[in-house]
Order: sequence, then structure tokens, then C-alpha cells
Amino acid sequence: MRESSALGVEARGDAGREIPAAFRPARPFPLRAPLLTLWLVLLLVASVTLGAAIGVVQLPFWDTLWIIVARSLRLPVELDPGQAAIIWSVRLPRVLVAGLVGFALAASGAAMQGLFRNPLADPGIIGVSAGGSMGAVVAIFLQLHTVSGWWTPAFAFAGALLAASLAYALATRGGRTDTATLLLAGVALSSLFSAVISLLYHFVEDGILRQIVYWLMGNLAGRRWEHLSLAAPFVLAGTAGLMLLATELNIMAGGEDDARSLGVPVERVKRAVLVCVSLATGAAISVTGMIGFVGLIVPHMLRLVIGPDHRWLIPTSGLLGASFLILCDLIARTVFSPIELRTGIVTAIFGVPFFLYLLMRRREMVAWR
Amino acid sequence: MEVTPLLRLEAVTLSYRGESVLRDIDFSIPAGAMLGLIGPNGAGKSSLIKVAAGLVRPTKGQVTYQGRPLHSLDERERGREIAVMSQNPEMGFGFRVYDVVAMGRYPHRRRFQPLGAADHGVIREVMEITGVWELRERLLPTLSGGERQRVFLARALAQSPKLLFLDEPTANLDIRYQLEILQIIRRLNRERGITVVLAIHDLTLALRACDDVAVLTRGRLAAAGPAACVLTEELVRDVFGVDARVGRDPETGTPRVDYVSVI
Repeated sequence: MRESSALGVEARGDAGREIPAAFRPARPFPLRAPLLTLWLVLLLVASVTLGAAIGVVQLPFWDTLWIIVARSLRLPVELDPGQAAIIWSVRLPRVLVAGLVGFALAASGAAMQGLFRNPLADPGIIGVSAGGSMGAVVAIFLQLHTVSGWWTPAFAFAGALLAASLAYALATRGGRTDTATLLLAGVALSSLFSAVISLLYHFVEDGILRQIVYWLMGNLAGRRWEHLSLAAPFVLAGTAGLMLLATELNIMAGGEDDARSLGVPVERVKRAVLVCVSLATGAAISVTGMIGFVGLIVPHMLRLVIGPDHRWLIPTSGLLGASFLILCDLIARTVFSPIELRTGIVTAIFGVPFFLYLLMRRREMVAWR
Repeated sequence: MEVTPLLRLEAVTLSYRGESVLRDIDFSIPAGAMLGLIGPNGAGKSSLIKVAAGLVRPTKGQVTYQGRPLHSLDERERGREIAVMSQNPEMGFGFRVYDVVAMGRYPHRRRFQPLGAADHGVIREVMEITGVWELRERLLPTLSGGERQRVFLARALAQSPKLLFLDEPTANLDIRYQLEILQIIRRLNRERGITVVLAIHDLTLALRACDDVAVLTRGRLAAAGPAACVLTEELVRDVFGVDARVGRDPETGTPRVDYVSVI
């Protein structure tokens, strides 16, 4: 019988120290999370560089990487002004917006699937994307974007937050939010907003209709540094918040009552996750329109590979989502050049088959059971 | 001089949509008790545990813990004092056994603070007590029902609670695991002074494992007191509608309940 009284809280330090040595982590999942994170960071660097190097004018990979590094760090070196201009002013902003949006959607998706304990949850499920689209469509309908380019993203962001707040208010009673009700309220509100958008189609002329459809399909063309600086603070704050809530999300995977008995302030955690997701997703879609599949599929891919621990799942989802969207955008603008495809089409065409392949190969490991 | 009980329920009523699940329950649990909660299905045992553990606020009445209103404790504070093992604990995803037990340390950690050496020490100790240390690297979905039950018991113990609620900890277990888990709980109660409240269906096991029992029927407290005094043939007939013989095994002398027939 051991002498230290664990249940009286004081425990011997030496018992704690010997544990890491005794640990021979088995590998229930194929990759260990820290190693995977390293690979994903390298993949992101490579994706950014490729995105900036490839286009109508092809630039060498290493030259591109050098120009990006030199310009970001303001190194006092001579750069080819033509190449630097293409990379820095034209391609890099678009690439980074794609990365930012991919990061926001995938990290939010991971948190939403965890919070709702539902594999079909995506960042838009609480009405954020439909609300955002509605906001943008209203701005376009009122022709506010001809006044200033910032009205559309501002309206989209406001619409996204409004929709999420409405869904939250509908699902909250007596200080408790029922996640099943929230899910249904979000889906119902999304349908309502989509219907209102369709209704507007009847009352606009062809030119405006085309602008609306163009925005709704999710698009990265012509994104500039301003778009990045507009969305980045919200995306970074929102996703950082989600990462800080990872431990609570892990515990809540066992159900809300169990989490409550373990001392988790369940209602506050739910509210915080929803605020973070709404900020990050709302800001992301306000500059690009809704891009599907990233937020749904990327977290599932990673859950199959590294398991369900949100402390790793949220950041790795963000990293992979960023690379994934950058590469999809690269394909979208080069494969049928000079015609540009909608990025959302490419994410579905490339993402879904790969996801299905993973799912079939590792069916026995589907981590949801 | 009266000693303040560890937990006290005063005129507790709980209603869902106007229907009372618990009615007017007055009840104290002294520190160090080993209390069995018995009653037919739907009598309100699980609801009583949720209210008494502070997971649900009563509609009327008050629950006090060490003389303080239970709802005035913040979640973490309550998590350090009171642990609950629910009826069908599940983790949904494929978490590692060690990580599941480590969740029990949550209320003891400050926000964003990783597990320290002391935490790892507690986790290892409770896993050894419940016999799941060997399983630490396994994924939860690969465990048997009995193993899983002990993992969740270890998680509750990792909270280092003074008061432990168990909602049918022996459900779905074969008889060996039932006895094993009750022995572990009994030992924790005797050796560490943890106050234990467990809902249990098997009356023989209740007699053997618990010092006191409280009997619930249709949301009311029907009887409470020392197990041998309360669990009589009349009570079993009145509460469960079953004709039973309460006695002792002639050879071993252990108490037992034999069921004769439904009345």
C-alpha cells in the first residue's frame, strides 16, 4: 500500500516524475501530433511559396521564397523589382487571404464538431454563413459596394454575427443553451436566409444578379492586403480563443452533465466557443464568401490521423485548412487559365474524393464511436 | 451539539414541465457515510443525485454543502469537493485511458496550466487503486464494460473528492466486477473517509456494501436509516411490490434478500 494520500491531494513528486519515463506511448493513431504539426508548418510554407510562384508568369520556387522572406523581414538586399512586385503586390495577398480563410474555417469546424458532438457540424451550422451571405447580398442589392468596397464585407460580418446571436438566443432558456436546439435553430435560420436571398433574385436586374451570384459562390480573385488586415484580427483572436478552450472541449466530449460534474463551466464554455467561431468564420467569409467543405472535411481527416484531442486537433486543422485552401485556389486559377474557376468548386472536387479514400481505408478507426 | 452534515437537502422539489420528479425531500448526509440509494425504476434516484451533486438546481428548496448553499460554489470549487460517476459514462471519441482519467484533475488546475508532477502522481495512484494502470495506453472504445466503468471511477477519484456520487456503478457488469467495484468503493470509504452515495438496484449488494440506505418511491423519501433496519420484508413489499425474505446466509452469515414472487 502506498503511503501518499492521493485523495487528500498531496502526492509525492517522485511518483509524478517517474511517469514520463514509464511512458512508451503506443500509437493508436498513425501519426503523433507534434511531428504532424511540424510537417503541416512546412507544408504551409511550401503552399504559400507555390501560390506566390505560379501564375501567368512562372517564378522559380526558391527565388520566390527568398523574395517573400527578404521583403517580410525588410532585409537590405537587392531584389528584382518586377518579380518582387508580382509576388508582393499581386499574388501574396491573395494567397494569404486564402490561407487565413482556410485556417479560420477548418479550426472552427474542429471546434464545432467537438461542441455539438456531431460529425456533420461545420462552421456555418449555427447560421453564420447564411447570415453572412444575406448581409452581403443586402449590401450588393442596395449597391453600397459602389460607394465603398468595404460595405459588402462589413454587412457580411454583421449578418454573420446577427444570425449566430439569433440562433443562440432561440436555443437559450434559463441560462442554459441546448445544443440540439441550437443546431436546429441554425439550420432553420440558414434555410430562411437562403429563401430571402432567392426572393431578392426576382427583384434585381441581371447585372446585380450576376454580382450576387459571383459573391455567393465564394471567391478569392483580386484580394488585396486590405482584405487581409480587415479579417486577420478577428480570425486570429477567434482561433486563438478556440485553442485556449481545447481542454474544456475534450472534457465536454463526454456529455455536458459529466463535464459539469468535473468542474467545467459548461455554459460559459459554449458561449465562448460560439463567439470565437462566429468572429473567425464571420470575418473569413466576409472577405471571400462561403467556401464549403474545408471546415467539414479537414478536421475529420486529422481526427482519423491523430485522434480526437482538441489541443492538437484545432491548430493542426487550421494549418492543414490553410494549405488546402491555398493549393485549391492555386488549382482554381491555373488549371483552365486564363479562365478562373471558383475556389469552392475546387475544394469540393479535390477534397471530397481524398476524404472518402481516407474514410474507406480507416473505417475501423472512425473516431466517433 | 449538532454537527453540520456534509450535505443537506431541505424541502427539495424538482419539476420538469410542471411534473414533479422529486417532492419535498429533507435529508442530510453526514461526513464519512456510505449510503445506498434504492428505489424502483423512475423513483427519482438519478434526479436526486443530480440535484444533490449541484448539477441541476432544485425547483424549490435548498441544498447546502458544509453549511453553504451548493449553488454558491463555483464550478471548479464544486468539482474539487464533489465527484459524480454517471450511469452510462461515455466519451464519444477515441480518447486514451490515461487522458480520460487526467480529466479528473481539471478542477485542481489553474486555467491553461498543464498537469504537474503532483497531478500525475494522483492519476497514477487512483488508476492503481481501480486496477486500470495497465490499460493507460489503450483507447477507450477498446475496453470492456467493466474496464470502462473502472476508468470512469478512476476519473471521479482523480478529482480527490470528499463526496462521491455513483449512479448505478454496478449496472451492466457481471457479478465479479460488481463485487470488485463495490469493494473498491467500500475501501475508499473506510480508509480515506470519502463520503459515498450510490444508487443501486441489487438489494443484497446494498445490504452488504452500505451502512445506511435511503429509499425513494415516486419522488418521495420513503425511509432512511441503517441498512439492516430499513431494508425489511415490509419495505420491499410496499416499495417494490415484491414478496421477499430478508435474512442471512446460514453458512457465511452475510445478509441477503431472496425474492419469492411479485405480489
